[in-house]
Amino acid sequence: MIPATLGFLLLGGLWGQDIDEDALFGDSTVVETPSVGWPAGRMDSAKAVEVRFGGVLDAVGQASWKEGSLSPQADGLSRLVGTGTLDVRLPSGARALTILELDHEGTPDTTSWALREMFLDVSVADRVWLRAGKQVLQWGRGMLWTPTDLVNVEGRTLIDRPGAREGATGLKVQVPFGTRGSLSAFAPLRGVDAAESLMVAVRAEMVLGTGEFAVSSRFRRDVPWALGFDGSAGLWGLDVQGGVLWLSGDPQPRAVLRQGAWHLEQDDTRAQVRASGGLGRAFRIGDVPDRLRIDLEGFWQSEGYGSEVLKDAVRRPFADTVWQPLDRRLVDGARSMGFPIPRGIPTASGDGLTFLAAQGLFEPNRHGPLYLGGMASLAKFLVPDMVLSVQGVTSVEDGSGAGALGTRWESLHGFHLQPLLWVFWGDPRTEYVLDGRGVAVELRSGIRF
Amino acid sequence: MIHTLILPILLASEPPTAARLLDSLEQQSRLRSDATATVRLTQTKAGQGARAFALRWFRRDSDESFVILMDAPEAERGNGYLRSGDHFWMYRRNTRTFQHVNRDESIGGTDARGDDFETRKLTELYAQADGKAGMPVSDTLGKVPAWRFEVKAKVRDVDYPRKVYWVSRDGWQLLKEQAWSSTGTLMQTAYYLKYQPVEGRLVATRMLFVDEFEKGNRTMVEVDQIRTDKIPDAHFTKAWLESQSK
Repeated sequence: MIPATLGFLLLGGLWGQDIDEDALFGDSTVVETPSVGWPAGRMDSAKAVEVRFGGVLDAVGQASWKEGSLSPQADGLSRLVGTGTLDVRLPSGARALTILELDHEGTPDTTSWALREMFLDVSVADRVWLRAGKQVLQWGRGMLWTPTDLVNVEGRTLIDRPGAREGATGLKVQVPFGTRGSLSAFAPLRGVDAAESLMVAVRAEMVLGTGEFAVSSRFRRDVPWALGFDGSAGLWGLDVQGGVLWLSGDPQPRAVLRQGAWHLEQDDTRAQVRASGGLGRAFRIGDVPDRLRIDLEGFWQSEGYGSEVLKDAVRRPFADTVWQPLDRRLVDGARSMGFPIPRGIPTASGDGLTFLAAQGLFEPNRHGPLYLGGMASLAKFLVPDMVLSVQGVTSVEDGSGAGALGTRWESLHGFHLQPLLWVFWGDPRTEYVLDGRGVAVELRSGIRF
Repeated sequence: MIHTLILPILLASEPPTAARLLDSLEQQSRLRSDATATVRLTQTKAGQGARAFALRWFRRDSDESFVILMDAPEAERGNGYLRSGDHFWMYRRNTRTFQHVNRDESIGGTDARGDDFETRKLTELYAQADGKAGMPVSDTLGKVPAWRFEVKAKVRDVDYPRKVYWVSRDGWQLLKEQAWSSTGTLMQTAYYLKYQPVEGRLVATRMLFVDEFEKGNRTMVEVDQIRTDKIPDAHFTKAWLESQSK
């Protein structure tokens, strides 16, 4: 009988050549004697403190040919984005994880860092799972739009930006019920300074038939009710998913033009609905199973802003002074010299976009009432490890949109290369051309380690 | 991957029917107890050399559940796969998302797939092929006498509509499997090289998957540290998988 290691080495020597079945089955003994001395202890827990570090370093270069931008835009950019993950696990199963992101821009020459996640994980008898700290959560369903996600602070985008997603600070408790489902609760703690401002979001998830469904809600004093339902299932060979959220009132203030001035209004009785749905299917192409994948997704919200808000270029007074964010270089400079960081630039008038943006109320991909998106990917394009992808999203309300055509090649050992062609279309002062209409060419490359 | 030792050795010289062989392979692959193992995958790509993957594998056939958790390399560590009945979730650590789908995926981008690590539902998916090709005939793989026979898909939702099996004559263990496309292209060859008895069953402990479509791409799978202790229910949950990831 050939020992396993020796057999493996023998096979290793055969790689790159045709398979020699006589060598593979050169030993008539197919059944081996079981190995002895299996290690004691549970395989799912570390036997000593385990410290691991990993990360991604991405270099991004972009050149654009766009017109009609509402703000000064450079025609090119270069960035280096490094993400480091430190994972520490104790034999008891408790662990801590930290994700730091370092971002260097070539023009202007600035460097910044961000703590994307930092949390502590503890389980109680493998029945109750607690995660405390800054974290990205599993909440909601969908690729571009997750209306029932009431907790994450950063939504999904057409193409993931380099770096890690921003986490939400809080405490999560999860109680699974076998493979049938789970109950989760999350209490965001950012900005909480009193019991009255504490919010709790809850989510019950279960499998039923071929589907997985969830009901979610959130509770906070003096904040409108929210009730969400989402699900995914395999139907007729399609992956179907969707979600709907009902709110009993405005979840946040709205910008309203009244008597020639921009006001903030929040109506706790204005009930509203947000919904998303998507279909996806993989296809066999050139004898390769699942080589082509196509997904379509849509999003609708009853209280989305109409196109007139962005189109209104008239400088109008603001009912309340708003604070425009400072240039990041100024903030970095002030911080490095120990000066207090100013709140921003007080602004008393401007157009609708300025008012929305300064109030933090402009959400790309979630501004208007109706959006459609689609994505397709073709694996083994030109070479085995290359994927061709095309993605697009459009706001039906104003007809603007953005699309990306690109390829991604990743080597066996973690080096990746991703050229992208972006296209932005639409009338002036519509959602996807606020930074200009035209095309941009982007090249991303990097390593994972 | 798991095979019983109770096999009709006395019939080794007479060709059994393909239906009986298929049924035997399916029955043999069903575990009576939970199983836990560590798995090492060595993937070789043409012109790129080799890359080693390590994963932990938890399997419970009583409710058709399994969990695969990637441990290495660092770039894959934390990605995971959870199956429970008809439900299959892929956990991607980078986007921190579970994708819920009703099908299998390749494991870590290698030639091994989720269904290589679970019970084979052969009689539900395949039946004896028409004509002589479906009739088991005597063949030899190296020094191992085998029965060779062809099957065709009974349902549309399979990766490959046609397969050819080589099954050892003295134990009816699966030795080799060829997967063919509908256009007659050989897409993958899998070799099941070694088995290990575990509590009256046989576990395939060394497999080689050869990508026939992309010549030069191969994945060696080695299963080690097999144990049959009962696996806690909590392991077959998204919460546990996420806690082991990030």
